[in-house]
Amino acid sequence: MNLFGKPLDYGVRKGKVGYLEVSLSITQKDGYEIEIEIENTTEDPKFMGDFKIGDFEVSEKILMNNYQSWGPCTFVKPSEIIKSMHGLSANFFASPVPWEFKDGVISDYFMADDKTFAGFLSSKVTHPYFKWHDGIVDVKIYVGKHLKPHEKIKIETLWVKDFSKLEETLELYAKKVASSNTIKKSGPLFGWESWYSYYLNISQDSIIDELNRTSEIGMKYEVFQLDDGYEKDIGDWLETNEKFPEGLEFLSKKIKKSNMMAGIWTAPFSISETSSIFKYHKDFLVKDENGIPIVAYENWNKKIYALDTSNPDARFWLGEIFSALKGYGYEFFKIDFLFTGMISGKRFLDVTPVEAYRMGMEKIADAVGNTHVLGCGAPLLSSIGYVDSMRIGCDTAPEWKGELDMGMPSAKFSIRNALTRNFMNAWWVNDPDCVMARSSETNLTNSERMINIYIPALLNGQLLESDFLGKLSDDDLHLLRGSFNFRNGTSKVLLSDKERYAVVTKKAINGDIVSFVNLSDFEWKVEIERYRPFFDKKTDEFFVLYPSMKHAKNEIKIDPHAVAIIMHRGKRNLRRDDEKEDDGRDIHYYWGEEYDGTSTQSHNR
Amino acid sequence: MMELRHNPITDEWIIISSETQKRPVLPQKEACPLCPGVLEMKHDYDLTAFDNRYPALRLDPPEISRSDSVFENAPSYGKCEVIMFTSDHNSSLSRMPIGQIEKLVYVWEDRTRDLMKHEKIKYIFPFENRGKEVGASQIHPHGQLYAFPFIPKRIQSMIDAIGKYKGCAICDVIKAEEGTENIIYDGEHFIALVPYFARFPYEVHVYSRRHISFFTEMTNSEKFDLAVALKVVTSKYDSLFDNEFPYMMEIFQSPVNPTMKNFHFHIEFNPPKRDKVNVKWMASVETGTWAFINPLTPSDAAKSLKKASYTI
Ligand SMILES: [Zn+2]
Ligand SMILES: [Zn+2]
Repeated sequence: MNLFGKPLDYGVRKGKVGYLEVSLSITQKDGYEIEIEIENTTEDPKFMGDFKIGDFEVSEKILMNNYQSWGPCTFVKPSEIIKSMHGLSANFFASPVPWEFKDGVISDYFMADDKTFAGFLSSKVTHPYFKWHDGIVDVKIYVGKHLKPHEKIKIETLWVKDFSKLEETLELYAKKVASSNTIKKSGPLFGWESWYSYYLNISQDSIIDELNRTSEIGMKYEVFQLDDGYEKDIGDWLETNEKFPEGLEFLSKKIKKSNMMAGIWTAPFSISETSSIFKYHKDFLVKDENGIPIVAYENWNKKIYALDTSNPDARFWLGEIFSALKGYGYEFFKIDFLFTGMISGKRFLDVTPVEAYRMGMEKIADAVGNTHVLGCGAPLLSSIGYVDSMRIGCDTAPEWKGELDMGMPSAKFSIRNALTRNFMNAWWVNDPDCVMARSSETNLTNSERMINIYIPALLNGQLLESDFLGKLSDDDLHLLRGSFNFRNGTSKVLLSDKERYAVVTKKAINGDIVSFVNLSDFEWKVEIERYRPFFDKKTDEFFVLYPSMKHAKNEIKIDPHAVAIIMHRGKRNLRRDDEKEDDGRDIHYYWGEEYDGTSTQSHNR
Repeated sequence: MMELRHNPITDEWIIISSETQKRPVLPQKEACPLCPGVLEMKHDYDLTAFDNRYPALRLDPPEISRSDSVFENAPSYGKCEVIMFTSDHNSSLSRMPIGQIEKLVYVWEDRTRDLMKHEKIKYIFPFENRGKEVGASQIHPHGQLYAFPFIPKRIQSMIDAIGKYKGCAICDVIKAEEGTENIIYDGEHFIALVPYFARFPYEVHVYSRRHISFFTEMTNSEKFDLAVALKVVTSKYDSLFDNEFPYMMEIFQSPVNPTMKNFHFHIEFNPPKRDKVNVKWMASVETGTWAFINPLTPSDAAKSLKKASYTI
């Protein structure tokens, strides 16, 4: 990597970018850590947009990461996809710096080629990213505010490392990012949510029907979450539409009575053109240079504007909404389309979009206190510390949808991101999006359904189910229940290539597991022995395929769109302590080697 | 009164244990005596085996007064143990993680190895009564184990049958049932099936594919597969009528001191239910003559159990 034209080496280096003086302080820390300071060296306030601090030549294939929840994190050959990226050049959904797509491929926060990993450790002030063009990657940073004359600010730190094992490097990166941020994390939770059964057709009656069914089918959900469809409009969160005549407090009380946390979906930084908040508070919106509100995106057949979270009145309004919802009894907040809060534009305060976003997130966090926040559609790095759990992939779908990898709903790519972004579990609880247990009203095959249900369980992230509970067959329910026994473990994902992954899971309820996920359209032959180094040796070890429970041979074939789940077993070493009861009777205590007092709790009632 | 009495009319031993009558019946609201730190286990545990508080058999039985020539009696020598499957009160074999059942198999093995050291012990019998229909007073998952100083009557009839049969009946049944619809778990080392000759509706037998006689002969991979078989059978039972299905689970190993190589290890599940609500009682015919009337064709039971879903 070259920084300001010179190869990477430790020491202090200065460069000039327009009105900016950029100083890099480079230290060797398991690779190189590059602290960055920028200064406006002029006598006038200067607006800082994007600038470049260095570049490097990369191999043909790179690991590319999009900045927000839904965007892909995958291996690509940029030269092959660059044309398809042009269409994104006005799309904040795809990037906070969408103009860069005109002549490049963007990887936000981090990237890797076949030997070098580069990643920024935070996004608290600026938006750092990598731009590929013509085989070269530019290391870039977007600021998005004026710097006062001679104002000097410290921005995000970059870490660069030549690696031999990408998986280990990603884990190390996750640790470094975690220690550069304050982590808020609780869960993972098991819950039900309304989206993938009802979509926008949810009503008060149907949610109460579903609520009553939870006890009929004997599922012990911890969370019961109402998704999109209840609100009067996007932005008018406390007013319900005609399908919810009794309002939001009525529902949360009902849910709480059933001994579950009441959950609710909002898109707090999104304001629709038909909402009353839009009508009465244009001052709350992010605007362009001419003072015209910027359309952040279109959805629900409406133009959606962005809340200016730097505006104290807007922030007060935001806080009131979440305080009210919390007051109603909601304890689980899925906050969606969060990228809206970070679009570039003119705001009340002269702050960067990232700073504005974090002011908004801070306000929500303050209002909801200790309750669970699930981020979605969110700029990943900038959200650390404000969410307990985070969606790390696109929406799933009751359909495989294996063609377009652009953040649109897809069962395949939602799981793919759950695998490639598994290391982000260090920052929050990963939410791979919903599992669907149903065998009817789905276009997923049985083996695709196994992937949709069992991979989230194995990765031990959030487990939210979304089905019509009344339409689940006994087999559907057992398939879901069976997956619970694969939770509670720690998983490492091995990135064989962009379509084939091995997951090594230790200490799940069902013990140590190795799974091979084949997302490709071709059969995959695996030699288990090749993965030997990734799991611990066991005495008398043997491998058993789940759910057939037949011994796994060394070479196994995995069908397209299928997962092979293999239990890794061996001799158990039970410890025995002999004691006496008060009256002299013998009592023998037997302890499994892994017993920690909780591992035997039954989760599948 | 605590002694063994011989019935010369049927040639069987009866265990007189009037002390078991004094078993305390805990009020329902009270804490579970089998949970950690309540009564039986003073602290946390994973699995335990302990002497029954009111044993019908014990290694130090009270002295007996010798009876006259017509009546034969003997000290109630032996052992009655309670085996705790897990400290998780709300679990059950059907819901326990597979690893926990696997550990239970290791515990059964250890108990067998331990108790067969006592030369006067002739038969070691682990079992579980599940559900109030079969007299289980605690829902906390547990089983029991009796170590007898004699060969119980039904075991004797198994031994007699082995003597009469050419080869091994269980080995032959396994061969005969291979690939049929009666098999509800077709594992690498164990199979579970509704036997052709089932006595109880929904009776299931679990057989080791290899001709072995004891837990102590099982490989680790066999122990694992047995755990899976037990989980499949019991979770199928639970889903059959969508309730906590009551059963008696009886584990048959070879007699000990001396052992019998030709005895084939097996497990019987004898559920008392004939359908979701009705119980098939052990009534006059069954108790009096040992002739069983099964109101359900075994192949029909197999069909329902095969269809019933399960979790591993
Ligand atoms: Zn208990
Ligand atoms: Zn045999």
